[in-house]
Amino acid sequence: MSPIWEAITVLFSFNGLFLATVGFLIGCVGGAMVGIGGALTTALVIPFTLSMTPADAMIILIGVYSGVSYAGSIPSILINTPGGPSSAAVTLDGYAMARRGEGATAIAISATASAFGALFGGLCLIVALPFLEYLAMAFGSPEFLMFGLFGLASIVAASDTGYLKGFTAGILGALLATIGASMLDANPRFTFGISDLVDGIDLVAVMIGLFAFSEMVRLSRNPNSISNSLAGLGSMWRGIVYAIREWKAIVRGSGMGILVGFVPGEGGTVATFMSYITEKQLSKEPERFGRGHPAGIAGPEAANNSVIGGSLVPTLSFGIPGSVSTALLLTALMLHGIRPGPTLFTNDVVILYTIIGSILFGAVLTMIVGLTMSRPLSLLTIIPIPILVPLVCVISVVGIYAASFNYSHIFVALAAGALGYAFIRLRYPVVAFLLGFIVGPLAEENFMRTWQITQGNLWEVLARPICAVLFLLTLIVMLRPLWRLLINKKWKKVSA
Amino acid sequence: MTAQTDKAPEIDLIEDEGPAPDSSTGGIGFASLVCVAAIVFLIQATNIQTQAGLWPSMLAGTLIVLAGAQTIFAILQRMRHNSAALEQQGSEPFSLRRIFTAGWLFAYCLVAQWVGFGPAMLVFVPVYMFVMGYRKPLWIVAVTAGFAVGLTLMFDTVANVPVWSSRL
Repeated sequence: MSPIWEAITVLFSFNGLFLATVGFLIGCVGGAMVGIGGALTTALVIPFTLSMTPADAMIILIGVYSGVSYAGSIPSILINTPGGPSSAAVTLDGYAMARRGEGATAIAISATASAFGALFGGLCLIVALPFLEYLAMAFGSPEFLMFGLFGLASIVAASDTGYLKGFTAGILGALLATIGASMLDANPRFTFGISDLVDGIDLVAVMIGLFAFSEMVRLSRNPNSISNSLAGLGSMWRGIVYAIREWKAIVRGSGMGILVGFVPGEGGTVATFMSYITEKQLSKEPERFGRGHPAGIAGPEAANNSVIGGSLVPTLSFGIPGSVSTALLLTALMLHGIRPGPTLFTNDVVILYTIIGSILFGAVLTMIVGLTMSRPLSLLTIIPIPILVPLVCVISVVGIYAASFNYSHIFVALAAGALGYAFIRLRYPVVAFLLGFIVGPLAEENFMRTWQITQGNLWEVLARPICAVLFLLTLIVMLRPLWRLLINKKWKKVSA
Repeated sequence: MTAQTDKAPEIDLIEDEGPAPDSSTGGIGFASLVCVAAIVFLIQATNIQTQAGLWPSMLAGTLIVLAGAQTIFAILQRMRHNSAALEQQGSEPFSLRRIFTAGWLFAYCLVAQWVGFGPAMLVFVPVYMFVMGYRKPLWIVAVTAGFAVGLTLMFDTVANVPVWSSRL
């Protein structure tokens, strides 16, 4: 049986369709709840997938990812509160439409554009797949090492918290990932006499602590519910017609989403705002933007959902996640013993096609479920915080235990939660920490191999073309903000 | 803590506060703590005789420089500006609710390992809801019962976690 046919059989079995739909609905619930967001929802679902086959796990997780990407716009439109940063751009015109009694119309535009964006992203991934295999095969240990550095630099540069904090968070993550038995000689490192640390720090525990616990503590300050305002009627069909009329905005947004998704760290937020600004600049009636222009919803929503396909390119090819959600998908892949990179294209092709199939199926679900469930979903934002917090905490605690049946991991999660809260309060980028934690062990492995290949002279790797290009790109990414700063200063001088 | 009433409260969307400035006591404390941790890691890494210590030594060394620089910049900034004003900037009012949430979660984790996730949850959820201002007894009972059923279905049945057993 060919891998494609095998993947189709898995995905379109009763079990596959059921898991994809359940995952999508869970993603919609998490995405629609302000303050919960995609990362936390995915993190909460991962422990449940550990007893599943890798293919089933990916089906449900991609379903969650698709659901979250779409549903984040629901509270943006209805209550002017984005479900996640990438849904912020939609508030500008979506909420304006909701205020004039066209909430359902705005949601329909969002669902239609999201479905097209996800479909476009999935199809682009299919087109790119044959090239990805060759690209991944061309990557040896030095190239992986350089790409890891490039990924970390991109994520640090994309965060608005400054280089120092970004790199501190990333390197702290990589350093904490070295705790436990060394991959070189299996001797325990940095365990400080604690036997539970010999196996290293559990990734699931770190992830849930960083996202769920810290967020629940932060949210608990609010005595009410996340929101208690529901608005919006209008016509679903009118929304679909508006979306079709704005097809150019959708195509442009989708293209931007794909391109931005390729670059690690430049997640949906950058893509959506880029799309919004472009649509406003290209529009014949820019004054209508911010007052409920359909293109202001269609473009950013298409961009936000096409990022899914784009960001999976570096994730699957090199193990460098393009966003937090893909970092969590990468975590899930690794927890199932699947390593991204060249082996994925040879040993686990079925998983690869299952992922792509799930994205395409997610697009269909976005259209069907997204349109019919949008209003009931928005009710979730009125769950009172005193109910929401214990719900998430209890599920998280038992979920961590279920993932490993090791109680000490719960205390690791508590520590990670404290660290996550400190990161939020002091504005250290959590994504950089998580990337460092995930990429750290892979980078160490490739570093040691490169060290042996070059016999300690690491500059030799720059003689390899891909390494040289990646090194140059890393420099550009690092120096870009400095360049902008210089230009701005010069511009200010000239204007003065 | 605010009591939950039947009256629809105002939307509290902007409940989050600004970040604490780097030069606040917390900011300086955190950066210096990271720096100290990196020093401990570096000392341990240099004691590893094999090549397994090379990578962590490099990371720890870099982290000392980064966290050290962060600490020094923050201290300099604090000396340059009025420290009291910096503490005020972006800081939040003292939040008992957050402290209670963190403490109660920690207590739940401690107790659950002795009595089991389910029995501990039967106390954790209603007490939390009540303390946080939820004043609808029937709802508190219903939510706790719902949690119990959900936990059993999700974890006991599906993932074979002994939710109601004290032997974890």
